[in-house]
Amino acid sequence: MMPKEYRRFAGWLLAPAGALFIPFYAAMALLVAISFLNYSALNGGSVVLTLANFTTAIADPYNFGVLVRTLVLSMLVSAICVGLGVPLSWGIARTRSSGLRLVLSFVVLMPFMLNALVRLFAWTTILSREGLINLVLVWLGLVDRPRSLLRSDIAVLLGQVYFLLPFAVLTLTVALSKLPRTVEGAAQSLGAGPWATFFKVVLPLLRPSMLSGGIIVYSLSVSAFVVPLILGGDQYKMYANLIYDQVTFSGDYGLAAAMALILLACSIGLIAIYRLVLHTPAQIGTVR
Amino acid sequence: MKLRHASFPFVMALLTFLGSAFLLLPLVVIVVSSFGEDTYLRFPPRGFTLDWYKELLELGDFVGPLWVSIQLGVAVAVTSAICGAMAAYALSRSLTLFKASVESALLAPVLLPTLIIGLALLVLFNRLNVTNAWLTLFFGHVVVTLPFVLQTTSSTLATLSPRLELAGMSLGARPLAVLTTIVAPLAMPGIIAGGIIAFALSFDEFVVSVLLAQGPVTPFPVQLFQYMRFSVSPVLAAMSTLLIVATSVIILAFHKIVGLETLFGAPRWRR
Repeated sequence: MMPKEYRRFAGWLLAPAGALFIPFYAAMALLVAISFLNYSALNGGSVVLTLANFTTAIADPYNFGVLVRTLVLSMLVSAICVGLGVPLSWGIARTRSSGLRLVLSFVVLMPFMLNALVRLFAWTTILSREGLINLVLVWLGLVDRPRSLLRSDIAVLLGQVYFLLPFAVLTLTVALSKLPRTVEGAAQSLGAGPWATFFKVVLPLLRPSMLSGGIIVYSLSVSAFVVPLILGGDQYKMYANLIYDQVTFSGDYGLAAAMALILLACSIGLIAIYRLVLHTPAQIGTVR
Repeated sequence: MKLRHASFPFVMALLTFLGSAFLLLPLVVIVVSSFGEDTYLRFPPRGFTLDWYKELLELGDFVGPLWVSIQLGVAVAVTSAICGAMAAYALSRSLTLFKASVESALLAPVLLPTLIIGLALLVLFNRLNVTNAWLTLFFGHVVVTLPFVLQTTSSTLATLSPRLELAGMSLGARPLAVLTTIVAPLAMPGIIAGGIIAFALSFDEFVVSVLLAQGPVTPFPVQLFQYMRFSVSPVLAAMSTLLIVATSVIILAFHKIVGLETLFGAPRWRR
C-alpha cells in the first residue's frame, strides 16, 4: 500500500498533460457552441441562436446524399476488412515459426505506419491508366483499352480497405493470441475436423472481437478524409470532405461545426452504444 | 463441395499470403518504379536509373518542409513522451478518485477524427488571433500523439511492482528521488517507445497540419500533398521509397526496444 503522501505527489504528475489539453477542450467547447450560431470567418459570430446549421448539414439534398453514401460505403469497408482480417490474423497468431510471425506483423504494420500520402501515391500509380491493374486487365483480355480507375467509387473503396485492414487485423490478432490452442485441441480430440473446429468453435469465440474490430473500422471509415480527397476527386467526396470544403472555401465555421458534430455522432455514436450495451472495456485496436 | 476436401492449413496459408500481398503490393510497385527510366510512372518500369534520386536531391523543395517536420516532431515527441509517461504513472499510482474520467479525458482524442480536432483548434486559434504556426501545430500534434504515448507507457508501467518504490521510500528517499532514481530508469524503454511512436505520428500527420499550418511553415506531408496534386512524377516515387525505408527502420527500432509481439497482447519472452 502506497503512503498517502506519495499518492498525492503522484497525482500532481497529471498536471503537465492536463495543461497541454486545455486548448483542445476549450476548442471542442467552442466548436459545439458555434454550431448553434451563424458564425463564419468573416462575421465573427452573431449571438442569434439557430438550428439552421444542422438543417443545412443534413437536409440539403447534396449533403444528405454524401452522408448516406459515406455510411453505406463504411459498412461495406467494415465487412470486407473483417473478412480479410480473420485469415490474416489467424496466420499471425497460429504460425509455429516465430520468424514468420515477425515478418507477417511487419507486413501488417508497414502500411499502418507509412505516411498516408505515400500509400495514396502508390495507389494512384496502380489505379492510373498506365498502372498495374490496367496492365493485368489488358493482359487477361478483360478490357481492350486501358482507362484510369481513379476518381471512382471502386478507388475509394479499395483505398479505404487498404488503410483500415491493419486495424481489423490488430484487433483480431490480439483476440486470437489470447485464445488458447488447447480449445482447438479439445474440439479435435472430440472428433471435429479442422474446418468444423474453425467454423463451429473458433469463429463463435472470435465473434466479439470481429464485432469490435468491425465497429472500429466502420467508425474510422465514416470520418475518412484523405483517401476520398485523393482517390475520389471531386465527384466521390465523403462527408468529411464537405467539412473541409466549408472551412477552406466558404469559411462558414458554424456550418462546418454542425457537420463535424453529425460526423462525430455517426462515427463514435456506434462505439458508445456498443460499450453501453456490452459493457466491454474500450479497445481502440491500435497500439496497446 | 470441393472446399471440404481442401486441406485447412493450406487454405489458411493461401489466404494469409494473399492478404499480405495486398498489403505489400503498393509498396513494391512504388519502390520498383522509382528506378525506371520513363518520365511518368508505369509498371513494370523500363530500364534502370538513379536519376530520380539525383533529381530529388537537386530539387531541394522538400528540404525545408522536412526540417520543419523534424523540428516539430522532436518537440512533440519529447513533450508527449515525458508528459504522457508522467500522466500514465500518476494514473497507476495516485488516488483512485476520478481516475477513470481523467483517463478517458486524456484518451478521448484517439476516438475523434483528426479532422474534427484540427477544425476545433483552427476555430479557437482563429478566434484568439494566434497566428504563430509553430504554436498551433505543436498543440494540435500533442493532442493527437499524447493518448498513444499514454497507452504504450501504461502497459510498461503495469509490469512495474510498487514494492520497488516502497523499498526506496522505506530507505528514506523523498518522493521526487523515488521518481527520478527508481521509476524513471525502469520506465525508460516504455518512454522511449512512446517517443518513437509520437515522432512517427507527428511526422506523418497530414490532416491536422493542413488545417493549422500557415505562412512559410509547411510540414512535410503538406508539401507532399501539394506536389501530388500537380504531378505523378517519378521523383515522388523516389521520395516515397526513402520514406518506406525510414518507416521500416522505425518499426525495427520499435521491435528492438519493446518487441512487436507486445502489440498483439503477447508478453515479451526476453527482458
